[in-house]
Amino acid sequence: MREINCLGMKCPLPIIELSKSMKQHPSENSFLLKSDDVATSPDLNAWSRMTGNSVRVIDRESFEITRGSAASLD
Amino acid sequence: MSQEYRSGSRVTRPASSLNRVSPVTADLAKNFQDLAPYSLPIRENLETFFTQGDSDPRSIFGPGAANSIRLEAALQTFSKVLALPASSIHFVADRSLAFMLSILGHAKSGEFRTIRYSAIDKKEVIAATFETKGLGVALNESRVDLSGAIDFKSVPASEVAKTLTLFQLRNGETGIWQSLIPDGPLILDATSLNPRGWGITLAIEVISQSSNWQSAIFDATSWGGPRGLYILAINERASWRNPLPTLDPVLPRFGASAPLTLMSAVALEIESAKSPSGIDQANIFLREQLGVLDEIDIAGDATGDRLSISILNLPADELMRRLASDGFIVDSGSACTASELSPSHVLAAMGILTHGNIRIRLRDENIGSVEPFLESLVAHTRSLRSELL
Repeated sequence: MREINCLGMKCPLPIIELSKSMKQHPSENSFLLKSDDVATSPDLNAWSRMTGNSVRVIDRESFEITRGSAASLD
Repeated sequence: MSQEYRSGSRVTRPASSLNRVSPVTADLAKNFQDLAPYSLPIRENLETFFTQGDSDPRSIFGPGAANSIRLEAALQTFSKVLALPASSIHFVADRSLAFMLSILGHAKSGEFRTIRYSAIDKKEVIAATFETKGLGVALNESRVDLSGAIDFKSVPASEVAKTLTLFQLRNGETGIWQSLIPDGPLILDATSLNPRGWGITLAIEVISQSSNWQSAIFDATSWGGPRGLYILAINERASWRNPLPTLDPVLPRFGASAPLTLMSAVALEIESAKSPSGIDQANIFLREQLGVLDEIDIAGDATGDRLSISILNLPADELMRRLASDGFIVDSGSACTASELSPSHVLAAMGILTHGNIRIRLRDENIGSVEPFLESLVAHTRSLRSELL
């Protein structure tokens, strides 16, 4: 699992860094996004719906992203 | 990728980037923001309103008498266009105060056991609702779906009359209409209704056909009037008690400025005489044409004067800066804009992307006049995305 450390970054950088990392590493299937920005959680929900990738909340600052098989945070 | 977004939080941009909108360009810009400069007919009356409009209308001599006549005429305008009895209308200077007076006034009557509100209500509305807990009222928050429709939970028949619902006819941020009117007593949030088109008609229908409306709040900026004038209509059949301490049985003006009241009435007369067709067509055109961009959310399927567009992988502040350099000024609900660091609670509640959000208010636009803006928006979205990803 590739870690994307976005701690300290403000919206929309965590989502942009995630999208960029997924584009740069097409063979990687899962990613660990670390972010403490309050907008990340609601935006990952929308991002999952728009891109078809799935998101699982690990804790308040950690989100596991898996390509495809979209599932929202709820 | 732009150096500005390479890592960490936003960094200072070169001065040349910040200064791309000159004062001259700003004056000539197409303004799609929620608030805009006053129209010419209002400006022409400004001097009269501010030189004479604050004269004491209780005086029967001098400018006070003329002011009294003007204020009565303004009241009749509001009554006629908004289809409200003149005796139900009160002028309030502040939006939070208007909602607080309405919500706490009904709660203080002791008639209601529960107040329902929705997750996309204004923050000050939710805050005022929380204050009723001290009066023994239970709170009930309704969720919204992706289309922005409020899912009002059903209330047992025995409780309907005791449940007061805050009903937002139209969301000011997204422009979404609520057409399913819940049962039971209602407080109408009509602050985002433009008198053009069927929006205001819906409010009038609810008010005239339903004995359940308890109070309604209108905002003069929704028809091009000034900030600082809100109309609080309280149904004379409703149970309402002034929640503010007072020894006077007559309700005060709640801080409303007489000149602003007069300006609001002029603006309402002007706006209600206009045709809605141009902005509806421009709205539909923009929604359809923005389909050329992938991974964007356009809130709801609303027509009318507002659009809320969220664009994935895009910083709204930089997009706004580039649009401004082309002469288009827009608002944003994104947390990445300067004024607020928390994401829009409305977009988050709907499940819509909160970053990359721009908000557009159409005034006298038609399809032809929004085409240049559309071209600029599509071009900057594509170029920014290619720089960042």
